[in-house]
Amino acid sequence: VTDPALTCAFVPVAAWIADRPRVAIPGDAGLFAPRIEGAAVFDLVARLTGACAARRPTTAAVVAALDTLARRLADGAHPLRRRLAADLAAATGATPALVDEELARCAGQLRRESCERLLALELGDPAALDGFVAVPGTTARRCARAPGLLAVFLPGNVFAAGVTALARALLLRCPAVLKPAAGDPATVPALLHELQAIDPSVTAGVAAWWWRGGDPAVEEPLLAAADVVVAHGDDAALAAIHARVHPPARVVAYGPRVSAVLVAREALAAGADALAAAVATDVALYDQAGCLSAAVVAIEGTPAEAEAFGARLAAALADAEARWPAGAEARGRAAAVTAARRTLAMSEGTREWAAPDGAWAVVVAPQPPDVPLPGGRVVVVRPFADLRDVWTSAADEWASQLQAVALAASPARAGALALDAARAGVARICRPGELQSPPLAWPQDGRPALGDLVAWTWWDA
Amino acid sequence: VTPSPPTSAAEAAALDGRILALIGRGEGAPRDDAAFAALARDLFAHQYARNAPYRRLCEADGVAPDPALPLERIPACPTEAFKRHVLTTFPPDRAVVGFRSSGTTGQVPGRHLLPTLALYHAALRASFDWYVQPDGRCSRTLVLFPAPEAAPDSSLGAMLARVAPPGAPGGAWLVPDPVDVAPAHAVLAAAQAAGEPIAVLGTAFSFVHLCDGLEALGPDVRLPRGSRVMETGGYKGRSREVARDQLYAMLTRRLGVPDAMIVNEYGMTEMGSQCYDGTLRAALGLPGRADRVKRAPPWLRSWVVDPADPTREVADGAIGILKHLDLVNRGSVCCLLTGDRARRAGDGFELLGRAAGAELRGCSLRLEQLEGGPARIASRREDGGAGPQAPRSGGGQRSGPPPAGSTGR
Repeated sequence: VTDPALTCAFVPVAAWIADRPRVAIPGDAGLFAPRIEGAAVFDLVARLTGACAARRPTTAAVVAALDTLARRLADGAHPLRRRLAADLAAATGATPALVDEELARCAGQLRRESCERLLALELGDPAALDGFVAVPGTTARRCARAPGLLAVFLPGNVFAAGVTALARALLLRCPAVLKPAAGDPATVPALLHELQAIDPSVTAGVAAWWWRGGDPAVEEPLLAAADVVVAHGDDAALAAIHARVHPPARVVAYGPRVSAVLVAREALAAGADALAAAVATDVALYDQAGCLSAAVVAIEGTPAEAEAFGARLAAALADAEARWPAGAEARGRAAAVTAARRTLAMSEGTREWAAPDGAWAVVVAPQPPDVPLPGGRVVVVRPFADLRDVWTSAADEWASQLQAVALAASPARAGALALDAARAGVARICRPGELQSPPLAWPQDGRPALGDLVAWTWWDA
Repeated sequence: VTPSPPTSAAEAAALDGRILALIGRGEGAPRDDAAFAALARDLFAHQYARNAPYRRLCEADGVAPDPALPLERIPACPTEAFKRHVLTTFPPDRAVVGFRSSGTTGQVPGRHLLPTLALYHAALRASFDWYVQPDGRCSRTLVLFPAPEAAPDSSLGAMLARVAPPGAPGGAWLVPDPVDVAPAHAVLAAAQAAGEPIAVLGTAFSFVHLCDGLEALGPDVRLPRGSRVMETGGYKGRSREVARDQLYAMLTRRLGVPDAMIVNEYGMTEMGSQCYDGTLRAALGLPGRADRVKRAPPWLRSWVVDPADPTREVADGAIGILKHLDLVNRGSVCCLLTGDRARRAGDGFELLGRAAGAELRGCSLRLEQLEGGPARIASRREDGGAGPQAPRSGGGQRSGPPPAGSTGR
């Protein structure tokens, strides 16, 4: 795609947007998007709906196309991977090495087995999207209705969220409009362009382009037509979306979360250096901006043991910084990060290690951290006499906001510790170092990935 | 016989005396860097010894009192810390006032406890008189802010009450109603009719309300020559947001006050001193530069520093965040690290707004982003009456981005 207006837009019929006026996207990258508004939005939705009705792709075709896309993303030499890495770095301020690693990890979500696992887990038989299928163990049958129009408001701080959302929309094979954020306007359109080249039937019902959020000329017709709206945002952003979506249309909202690493005593003894390297990966990827980014490490041990691990983690973060340098966006928050670090240092018993340029910091805090976790590769290490105390310490507010936990524990204890985490509301549990490599089927915010988007009809045949 | 060390009270009183003497020499007194440094080091030693949370920060930095300690190395306490720690050199229950910065939903308000108002009052009066009424007090004042009894823990309210006491002859305190500015109009019209200059003091959003209301009311007011405006702070969602130069153009149009007679004040709950534009002095033909570069008074040092390393001052013309060493903060922490972005401009600084806040965590959009802003928003201010710094409470404002060049508490 050489037309700059098209780099931040994908509409299945390219000619349809070729002569649209262009609008500049906020930011320093000098990007543009086509202006599609008013009646044109209705027209576009009608085209997407018509395309899905006329030649709806098969599940197998979608899965095959996504698998091909995944292979290209996983190939460090593939032009798509190289172009996306460069574009993402330019648009988001992340460093190319970091983005490249993130792309490689993200590719796994789109592989055939990942897609098929999601479909099997949540739909049983994906043919349920096309008609009634048998319900195992009963005489009943059921079918799933995908949204008549799915609208997705994407976040701009973690491109993988857009990749996941795109894959889920494609697997439902329904008309969909995805709105990229100004911070990352090009990734999803670029992936759609690539998919169109792989198999145009797969993308016939999907459009993605940036517009100024809240623009009534775009969103009034879009939200009037959509019956499911997916949004990632803070309370104010989600409330603004809710206020403009009227029943029977639904909003599927994802709020801000953080993740943590829980280290059992026996795991610490078994190999602290490897553990620290894994935790550093969980902190550094996406510059700690994602809900799957580790912000706190709970160490089962004494304050001295936590401090010893803090020193190892500091060394590991220094290594990670050399491998995947922090981006401009993360460094742009240096003032907030410095303020948080220095405020933490004023509590009794804290110990800190930090990069000379502020690119990362480890704060060992015997007391619960009493500042908002600032991001910017700042990780708080908290000692607990027993890991179960994580869930009972009311002052450790972060524990009630966890999306995922990386758990390092012996097999004998892992089950019980994982159950504690699950009961506390944690949506995903994995090994340290794997927080940023979730499967496509992971239940973000504890909810089914596809199940939240479809409606079912049950037939007692 | 080894003399016993001075008690905290005696030590504090001695420091207060020295600081008051420095303030007493006036805003326009020549800077005495050696005297300032000596006093600042003694004050640092006092706070290191008697303010436990601050001492822990110093220990983390590996800095202890030392007669040769460069001022730049005195550890800077983030203003954020006032929300999380009790930062006093005296028993908190002996505070005579606790200025409070209000917080947005879910945020903890900050408290700045003072053992005495003597330093605060002396400093604010000296700076205000120098920059806002160097030609003597206007016979009339209009304060656009809630009355002190309605906002008793607002540092801005306390400051305004000191320079324009409620109930004083010729003075009026009003909160401009966004839809009814008739009372304010009456005060202004009376000044116009009497031909007596008036000083109008308030927050930026209150001036937007005033100008909007005056526009709806009819003919513009033409305030008498010598009238002036002191505005402070930002908008916080209390009014539509207006760029600073636009706001000043509106004030000139609606009130007839020339641009140079409008001054911006920079202050914050956590800091006892204030900085001002020098335009009004220049307009009156008094010594000073006619720019909007803020210059610290003799009892304050301000640096524009690297956000990642607050001991490192940025080059002239470069952008960083503001660090202050304020002797008026004798009872709390004198060295403050703010979240205010500024450009170093010779011996002063130009305010640019708030530094980017801590990132919202977790694949999310902020409302500003949802509504079309770039991913990196320019600022994330806290609640309150005013500007880029933790605002003084009392105005009941809601959150919103700040204008560049505003002040705040």
